[in-house]
Amino acid sequence: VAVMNAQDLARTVAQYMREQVAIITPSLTKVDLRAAVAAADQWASDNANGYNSALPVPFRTTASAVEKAMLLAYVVMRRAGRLRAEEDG
Amino acid sequence: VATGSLVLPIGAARVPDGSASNLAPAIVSVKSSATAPSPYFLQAGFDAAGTEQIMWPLRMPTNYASGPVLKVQWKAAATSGDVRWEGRLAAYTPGTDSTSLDAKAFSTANNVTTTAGATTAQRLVESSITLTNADSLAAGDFAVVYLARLGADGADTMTGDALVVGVSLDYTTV
Repeated sequence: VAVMNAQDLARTVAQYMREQVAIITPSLTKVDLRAAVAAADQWASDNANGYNSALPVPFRTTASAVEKAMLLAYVVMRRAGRLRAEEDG
Repeated sequence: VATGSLVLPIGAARVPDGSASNLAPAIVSVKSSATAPSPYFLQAGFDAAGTEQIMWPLRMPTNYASGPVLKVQWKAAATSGDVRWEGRLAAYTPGTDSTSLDAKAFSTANNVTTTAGATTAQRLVESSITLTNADSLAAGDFAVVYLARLGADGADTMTGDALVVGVSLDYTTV
């Protein structure tokens, strides 16, 4: 899986700053954020095959790439306390 | 020689229409977290990734002589990084200027870069944008004062919105 291009990286940083302003560490600058987003993207690219291999066969062989990406995003968001389910009340 | 000051309230600002290159900051009312009665004020949140602008149309006071400086009081969640501000003027002298006001353009940009308030989030700082390019501003002119943050500029390194709460146009009087 290829890494994102410069425009996608920049827009990811931009939207992250807009939506997560409440949790961004105040001492970080845009340079710091850009480097972190690029590193996370590189990690996702480097480990895409490993993630795919870890998925059970029915899901791995039938789900789309978008479905697999959203599944991972939901797991990570829940672990970070950022995904609230209806069952949480 | 004295200094005059025109207060430019956030609530009196004109915002652009949101079309390409005409993006506006979000203006919200803020209530201090202090015990009631606590201060309320308006703040305009200028984006960290693009250019957002706000402006004030007005008639220049008759005691205006020269040296316009845009004073911008702002804060942020960030405690490091710089914000790149831009100020412009469009000045039109009634009875002298002969072009259509509806086609009036702003003067060349005036810029300043200011570092966010250190150590404490939402600490107020003040930027002074000397409006050297003043479009031949004179007393009695119809003028439009423009303020923007250049969030995508290389010199703008602060994360998150720059929250403007107070603006004035200071100048030397006759």
